[in-house]
This record gives sequence, structure tokens and C-alpha cells, in this order.
Amino acid sequence: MGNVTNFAVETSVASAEAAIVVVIGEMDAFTTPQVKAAMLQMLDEGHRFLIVNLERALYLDSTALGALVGGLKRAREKGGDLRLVAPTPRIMRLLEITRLSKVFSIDATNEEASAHLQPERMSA
Amino acid sequence: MSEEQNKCLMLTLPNDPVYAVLLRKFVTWVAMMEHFDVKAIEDIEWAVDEAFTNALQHGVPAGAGLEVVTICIYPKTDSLEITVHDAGDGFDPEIIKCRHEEDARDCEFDLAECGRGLDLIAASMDDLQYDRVPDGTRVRMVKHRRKDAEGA
Repeated sequence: MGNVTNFAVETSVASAEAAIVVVIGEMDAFTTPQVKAAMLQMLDEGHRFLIVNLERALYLDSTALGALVGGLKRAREKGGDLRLVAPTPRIMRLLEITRLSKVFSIDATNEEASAHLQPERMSA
Repeated sequence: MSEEQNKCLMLTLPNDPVYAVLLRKFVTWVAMMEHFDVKAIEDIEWAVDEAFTNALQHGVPAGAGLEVVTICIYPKTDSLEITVHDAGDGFDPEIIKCRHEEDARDCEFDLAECGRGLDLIAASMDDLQYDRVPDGTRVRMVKHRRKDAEGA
């Protein structure tokens, strides 16, 4: 079956060690593997700091949360970190229900997240 | 059985996660038509989606071919009752919270990569029940209508 969910993941490089992963659409059991693969690819390419932008993420389920936690753990294993950017009020409520609002660092913009990730090394 | 109890909106889906989005649209539409408020609709959507995902992950017997998950929505005067029925042998909700040793250890630190679905269902719905039935497992969830949300 093709892309029936209008879902997309976009990646970009913020610096030698940091990458931005933008989630667009509904992240569920079907679409989450795409985000997981994008995060792993960025980590494998040497970007140990991940910024996951959720500004255009319309929906997250527990599978999505598990993948984000996995990304955080993989990043930390490499001495890095993962920060979330601009979750919608609904996704923020999900993070609070599941207590993950205390696990993830959350920023309003990519720039704000970048500033928290090894600021002396960030050029973007 | 009363006429209200008989009114059921049913959706039968293959055990494929691609259909999760269809299920969410379906249940959201029903909840909107039943005049639940926005927050309640979000809760119902989460709960049904998580129950469907659980059915995909735990409900289909090993080695089985194409199985289906059946979702029934019963609109009632003061609530919405939803059942999610699969052909699996069922599961222990306490056990599947952390199936893997690594995740079991990480649960203490909120770093588990699985097990939040049941918590999310419980937090989203007013009543939750797991039943073993002769042909599988059925999750029954109820969301009560808040009186001050009527017509919202």
C-alpha cells in the first residue's frame, strides 16, 4: 500500500555533530519505523546530537514515544543527546501523561535546541 | 437487550498497522457525531489506536495467517463504549508492560521503549476491562460524556 497517511520525515544537518529530524503528519505503528530509520541514519553518520522537530507532527502514539526514547538512548550511548522541538499542545499532553515530559528536553525552536547542544561546537 | 445496547458501529480490519489511521478517522468521526468535546475525542482516539496496536502485537497467534481485529463502537446516552476484539490468546497487561529485560530495567527510569500503550488507554478512558472470550481476547473501554461538554 502506498503513502496513504500523508506522512514524511525530513532530515538536515545542523553541524558536524548535530542533525535535525522533522516529523510531518501522524506518527503511529505504521509510520514510526521511518522516523526510527532516519534517526539511526543520522547517528550512524556521526551526528550524535539529534533535534527532533515536532511542530508539524499531528499525532503520536506509544510506538512513536518508544522510538523517540530509543533515539535518546542511542544518542546518549554515543555521548550525545536528543531534544524535542515545538510539540503541539496535544503531543505535550501525551508527554505529560506518560511522564516523558520529564525525560525529554523540550525547546521552542531548532535554534534554541541547537544552543543547548554543545554550544561551542554548533555553527548552525 | 435494549435498543441502545444493540446499536453498534463495527469495523473489521486486517492485522496491518497501515489501517491504524483509518481506524482513528473512524472513531474520531463517531465521537464527533456523538458530540464529545475535543479533549474526550483525543482520548478516545488514543485509546482505540493503542488497543488496535496491542492487538497487532500481541493478539495474533504465532504462525497464523491473515487475522482480523474487530472494533465495535456502542454510542449510548451518556457514554461511548468501544470493544476491540482479536483472535489471539490474550496477554497479561502487567507482563507486556516490559517484555524485555533491558526495558524492564529501564522502566524505573522512564526509559523503556515499550509498554506505554496500556497506561495511555487507562489514562484516557473512564473504564477499562480485558476479557478472554472463546475466540480470542476483547478489550472493553468506556468514555463517559461530561455533562458540561454537551454539544461542544
